[in-house]
Order: sequence, then C-alpha cells, then structure tokens
Amino acid sequence: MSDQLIIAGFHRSGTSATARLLHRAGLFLGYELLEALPSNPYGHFEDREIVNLHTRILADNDQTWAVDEPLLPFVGQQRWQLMQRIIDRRNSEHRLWGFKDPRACLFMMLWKHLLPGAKVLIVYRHFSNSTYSLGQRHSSDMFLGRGSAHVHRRFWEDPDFALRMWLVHNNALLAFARTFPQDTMTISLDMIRDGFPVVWALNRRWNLGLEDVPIAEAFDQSISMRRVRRQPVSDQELGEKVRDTWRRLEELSGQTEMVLRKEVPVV
Amino acid sequence: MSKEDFYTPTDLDRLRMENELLAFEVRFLKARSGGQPEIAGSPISLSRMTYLEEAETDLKLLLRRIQNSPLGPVARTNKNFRTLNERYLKQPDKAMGMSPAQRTVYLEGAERDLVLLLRRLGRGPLGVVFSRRKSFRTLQERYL
Repeated sequence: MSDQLIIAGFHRSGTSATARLLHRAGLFLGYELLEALPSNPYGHFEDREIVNLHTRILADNDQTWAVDEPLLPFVGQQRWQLMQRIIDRRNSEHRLWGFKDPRACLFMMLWKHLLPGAKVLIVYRHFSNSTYSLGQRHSSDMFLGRGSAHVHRRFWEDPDFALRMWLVHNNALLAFARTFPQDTMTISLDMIRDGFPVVWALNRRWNLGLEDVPIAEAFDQSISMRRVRRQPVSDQELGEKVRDTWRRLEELSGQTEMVLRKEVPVV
Repeated sequence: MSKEDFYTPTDLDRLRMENELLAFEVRFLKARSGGQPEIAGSPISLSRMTYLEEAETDLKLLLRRIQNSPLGPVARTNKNFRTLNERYLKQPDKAMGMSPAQRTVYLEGAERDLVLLLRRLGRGPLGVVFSRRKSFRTLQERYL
C-alpha cells in the first residue's frame, strides 16, 4: 500500500525548493529528474516522464505550458493508460512517492480520480513576486538566445500575460482545495521562508513518515527574489480577480497555520 | 524637419512592457559584466538587498518564535517587543507597496532592530539559555 504526495504550485512559486526539501526528507519524486538550470540552480525536481505526460495532454488541447485561460482538458484513452502505468510502477516500488510539476495545477482532478488517496501540498507565492521572477527568467533566456524567442517575447507583448497565468493556475488549485479539503494542505513560500516546519506539519497531518530536515539546509533564501515596485496591471478587472484569489489562498494557508500553531515546536 | 521625425507614444501598455523589459536587460547586462546590478530606483546593490531581506526574514522568524514560545506572554508585556511585533508581523504587506528608497530604509531598519534584539536577548537574564540554541548562535554569528 503506497501513499502519494503531490506538490502543486504555479511556476516560480517555490515548488522546486519545497520539492528539494521533501526529496531530502525521503519523498520519491521520480526516476529521471530534470537537470538544474540557471533559473533553478538546485534543480527542478520534476520527473521527465510526468512532465512529458503533462506536456502531451496540453498539446492535445492545443496548449503549451503557458496556459493563461481556464482549461478543462480533454484526455484521450492513451494518456489515461500512461497515467495508470506511471501510478502502477511507483505504487509497486515505493511506499511513499509523489511528483512536482507546475503544469500539474491544471490536472489535479485527473490525478485525484486515479489516486483517490493522494494528498496534495499546495505552494503559492504572491502574484507580484511570481510574475516578476517569471519575467526575470524569460528575459534572461531571451537575451542569451536560449529557447523560443517567440515564447519569451510574449511576456512583453501581451499585457498581463504572466498575471493571467498566475490566476488560472492558482484558481485551479483553489477549486481542488475546495473539493478535497481533507487531502490538501496549503502553504505560502513566505511561510516556508519564515520557518514553517513543512515536513513536521505533513507528518503530523497525514502520518507520512518523512524524515525531518531543517529548512535552512534545503532552502536557500537568496533564490527567492522579490519585485521592488508594485505590480503593474493593464486590466483593472483582472487585478480584482487576482486580489480575490490571493485572499482566498491566504485564508487557506491561515487555516494551515491555525490548526498547527498550537503544536509547532518553538525555538 | 519633417513630421515623420516624431512619434507620439499612445499605447501605454506597450510602453510599460518595453520599459519593464529594458529594466530586465539593464539588470542582465550589469550582472553579466560582473558589476553589481542595482535595484531599480535604489542606490543599493542586489547582494546587499538580498542580505537585508534575509535579515528581515530572520527578524520575523525570531519574533514569531518568541511569541509562540512559553516566553511569549512575558515578552508581550514589553513595549519594545510589541512595537517590533506591530512593525514586522502585523503589517506584512506594507513593505510591498513602498518605493525602492522607502523599502531600503525599511529593510535597513529591520537589520538594526534584529541586531538590537539579538544583543538584548544575549545579554538578558535568559542569555545563557538562548545561547544554548544553535539557531540563536547562528543568528548571532551572522549579524553581531
């Protein structure tokens, strides 16, 4: 009998750092993890097989990783079968396994359908910092001639593009958390930076048997840069929606803190 | 001079995005040339800013831990502790809306407050107890 823990969060929200922490704590995250890049010097902790699957489902739906509108994915028989194979292999070989891929935000309901007992750790970050970090990554890649210039340029040709992406991914996570509150734990990147004992909290809540790892060992504070100025927005209505989603995420992480506050170890 | 020598920018979104991309380009080029990229609008280097942000984070962490520890109720009777609590824990988003210069001043204040707090805790009656904690010693080594 296996347990599963999925780490879900928008791009540049601290999911790699969180995955790194949980990987050290003993969570199996995949057979072939993607290599580190300058934008993620410690690695992505994303399994190639899972990322390829998500990329294919997106392509089936005429989408790339940069989804900026609500998506109700069509999933063909072949993809379902591949998902099942991925699950069967991991279930048979690992007592506790999981995966991390920002694309997974859009496919959480699919995974939950096949893995009814799966637990999900939602990691979110303030929209301003996530979108700024995304801009930083794509501008650097563009100046270095890495990857598709067309994809990079979109961040400076389509107003509010990154902000819409943030909204779509985080709304999908909120919908999931509303549907499966017992199987979801929500934390913010700031909570982790402030020393929230993630591993301890996960063990406490779901008895996962992860090994406690000091956050400082796995979490480099300097990698999470912040936007200095306020978030620019062209569409004021979008701004309102983003603020509303942010508030709801903060409520959820507030619940995580509240439930555990009394039991969190002190200095 | 012909009329075509001029162009009147009308698309604010386009201008804003071009400006943002240019700011990224400046940052990228400065980093590449080996110089310390400055934070836009602030005369402070990126590494110094990162250090100050870490100090702010450490200060918040320390305040939270004191607050949640058995010492919390005693600490809350201290006016200085309440002031720090108010400044750094109760208004977490305030710093986000600041201009670069204001934010720098705020972060430098956080660094000073952290140093002061560490000194007071280290010299106080419970200094020996605190010094036994590895996390406290790490903070002392980093900031004192």
